[in-house]
Amino acid sequence: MTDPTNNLNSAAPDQEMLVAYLDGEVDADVAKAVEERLARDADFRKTLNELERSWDLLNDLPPPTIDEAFTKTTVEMVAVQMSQEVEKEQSSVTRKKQLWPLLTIAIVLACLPLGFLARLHFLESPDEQLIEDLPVIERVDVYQHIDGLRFLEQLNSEGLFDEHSDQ
Amino acid sequence: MQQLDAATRTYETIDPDARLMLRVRDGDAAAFEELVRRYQGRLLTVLENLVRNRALAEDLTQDVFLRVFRARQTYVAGAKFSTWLFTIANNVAKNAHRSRSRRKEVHVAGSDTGAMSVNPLEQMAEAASGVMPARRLDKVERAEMVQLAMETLNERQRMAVLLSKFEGMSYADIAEAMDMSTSAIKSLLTRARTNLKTVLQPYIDQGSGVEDFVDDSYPDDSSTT
Repeated sequence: MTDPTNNLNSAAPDQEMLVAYLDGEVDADVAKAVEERLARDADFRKTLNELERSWDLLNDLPPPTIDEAFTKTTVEMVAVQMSQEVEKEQSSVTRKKQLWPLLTIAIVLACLPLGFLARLHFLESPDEQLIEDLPVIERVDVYQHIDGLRFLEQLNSEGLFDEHSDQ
Repeated sequence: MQQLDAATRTYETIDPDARLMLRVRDGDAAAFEELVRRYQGRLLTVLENLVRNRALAEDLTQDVFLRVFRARQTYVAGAKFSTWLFTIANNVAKNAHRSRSRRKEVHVAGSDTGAMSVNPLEQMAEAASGVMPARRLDKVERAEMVQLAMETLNERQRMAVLLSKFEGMSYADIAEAMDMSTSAIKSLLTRARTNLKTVLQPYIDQGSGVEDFVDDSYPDDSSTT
């Protein structure tokens, strides 16, 4: 069985494997191979030891000191943010409330010319009605002497209203 | 989508901080304050060691909390809360670094290969040359040396080291927080730790009070037959 720790000759893969081993990021087979090599290889052991010690020296980094004032300002800052969000939302609601009456007026005003144009287009113009009724109007004196519809039908059956009868 | 639902249910169950954040989502101000208390120290540790400026680190920490609060309404526990938080912290730190670089306020130490700073620090140069410190350093001096050693790393290496060391994050979680692949994080941490080892070599040899790894389970060379 090949030793996974001896696959490559350069030191870099050894270092990578040792770092991963120290961090618990190798699988069981690789961990076993590392430990077997540590038992027989002094240089390998020395490298691991030095990596671990330099890592432990980081414990000497001073821990940050936190005072209550910092926590307080952090929370206050967020509270300000929250009140800004609420204010923004409220002004948005107020703007919408103010907008509705204006919108209603605008719709009504827009409807006025539309209504006028619609009336012009769809309702009968008195002049148009007069033009349509002109033939009747021209003979209204004659029609005044007609008793009823039956008389007209009788006249029509005699051909009085044919085109040639005017001549 | 089903995987996200399953992950969400998992983290809501196992992660108490994710549950707190869900309470923040639902308008619980006390839950937010509790999260601030739990994480402000941890964030400051990472950010202060990253940017090397206490006032800036405090501003960045508060910026992170503000972003967390702003994102509360759409929060979903799809990952550990700490992973999500440090993803935001990494983003905040990167933005700060970009601003500082543009303003040329700070000389950025280190390169992607982790080579020594172009602006070598006297004590670090001495250490790298293998010269043993004349005397054993006290704790304060050791802390300063370690801080200087950290400054020889570039920002990404430092962030990965800090998340690994002080947050105990797995490579996968660090990868998620830093928006990198797991294998890239493995390489990054290897370079960082190798560089730290090289720079801190004299202090490792001096001894820091840490027990030698070579314990009785590994026989000494001289005893082998």
